[in-house]
Amino acid sequence: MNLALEFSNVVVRYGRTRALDGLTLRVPSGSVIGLVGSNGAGKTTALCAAAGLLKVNSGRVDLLGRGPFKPAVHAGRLSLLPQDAQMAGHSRVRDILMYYGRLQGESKAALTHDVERLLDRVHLADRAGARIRALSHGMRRRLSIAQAFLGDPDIVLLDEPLNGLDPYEVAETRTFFSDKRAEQTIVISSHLLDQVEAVCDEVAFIERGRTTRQDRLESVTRRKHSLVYRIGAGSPPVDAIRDALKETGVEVHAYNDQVIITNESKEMDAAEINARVLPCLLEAGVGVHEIIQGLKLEDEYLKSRARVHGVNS
Amino acid sequence: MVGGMVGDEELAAELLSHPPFAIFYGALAFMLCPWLVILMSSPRIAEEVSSKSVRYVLFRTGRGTWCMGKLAGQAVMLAVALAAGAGAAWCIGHFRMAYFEGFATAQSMLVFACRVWVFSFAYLGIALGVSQVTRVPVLAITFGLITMLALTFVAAVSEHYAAEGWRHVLDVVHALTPQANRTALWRSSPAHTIPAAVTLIAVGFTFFLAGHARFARANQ
Repeated sequence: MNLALEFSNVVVRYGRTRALDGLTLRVPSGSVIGLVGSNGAGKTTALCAAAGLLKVNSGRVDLLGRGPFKPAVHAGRLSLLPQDAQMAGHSRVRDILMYYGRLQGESKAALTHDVERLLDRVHLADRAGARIRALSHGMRRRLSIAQAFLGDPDIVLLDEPLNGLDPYEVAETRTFFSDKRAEQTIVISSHLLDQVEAVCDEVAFIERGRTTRQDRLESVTRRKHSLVYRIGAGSPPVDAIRDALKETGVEVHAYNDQVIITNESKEMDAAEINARVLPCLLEAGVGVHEIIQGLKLEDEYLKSRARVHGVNS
Repeated sequence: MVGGMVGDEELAAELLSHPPFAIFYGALAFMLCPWLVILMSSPRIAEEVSSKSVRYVLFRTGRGTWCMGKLAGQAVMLAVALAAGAGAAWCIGHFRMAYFEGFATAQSMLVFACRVWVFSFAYLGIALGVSQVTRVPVLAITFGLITMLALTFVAAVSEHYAAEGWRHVLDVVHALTPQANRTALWRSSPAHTIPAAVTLIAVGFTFFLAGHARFARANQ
């Protein structure tokens, strides 16, 4: 597998605190990967370490197969959208993008076109001459997103890119990221799990500076291997459902307000399972609110987190 | 009066070849520029680290290149400020003074402005050096002022206590302080001005690079 970014047992310390405590992560080229984890889990530290902003105490970060970040090797091939960094307020929108582009070695001619295209894409073309301090928080965020795609770098690291965007811009930006799939490798750190689910094709759970799980999103949510019935009040007829599905080789679990049908070994025929399960639920008088193919990323993340932190934490 | 301003009677005689207005401009610029440089340039890098805007640039270019760019930018700003100050002073003299040698004064002011730039470069190096060791802009200014005052103190003490024998080392210490080279910049002979200019630029780069040694390794 061709890797765009690889962390091997990386340790980063802030004083006595180990922000990354042996982080191992493999990001395939052309993938869109989501980093998911608690506050302080080490996601931002990981992105900053990849971009050469933080020094790694031990372990190895490999970028594009050419070792850790070196400006001479990686400038213009990697970009970062920092979480809470401010741009110079007195600069104008177009000028700052031109400055960043020139800094990473782009030619003026190529940049002019690139800047206009990106401003148009993030809906800031009409504010190109405005000073950054005159922009709203959401507009500044969109400008930050635009700078991350200047010069089409091979790998783009985005730290909470959708924070502060309105719902329309969230949807537009999500489409923008999806369009970049296969062209560029995108690493997204986010707490908005439904957005991660909508955009990413791979996901890594990070807790206490380590990767607790990394897999294809399809595998994490078991989209083709599970059906989830969200039900109303009343206890689900688990035994009756197990009887109805006896020869299908599936497993049945009840979890809070859900009945989860899984088959780890082969893909399920959702129509067949529905035909057998729904009558049992309706007969038991349990309202069926929703049928979802696959588990929610949020549920899987919370289960994974509970295993790391303890159930009650 | 000129002797009092430059602290050297022989030099004072040499300076009398310049128009008095230019000497007054030079004396003021030599006195005020280091303070202005420390106050204006010390926070330049620290404030970008503090606001984290540095995170938008350090993956695009090397830390050394970026800091050198800051030094070059500040040096150009200093030159522009000196030129603007000289221009404004010349205009005031031209319109307000009864006897004003316009061309000769402009020529002398230009020469003094260049020399003040060289003198202030040492302080620019100090300012951007301290700016690289802290992420708090106010602290950077404080460190800059402390360093400037400490150098003034070292210059005075080393000049006062320099003598034969081992205390000759104090002469060397004195020669390496910016203040010790200011007098030489008033003189017209290259034999005085060139060594002083080289020393001042070297002092500036030494402080800048000492700060950069920390910045290059620090987490941003």
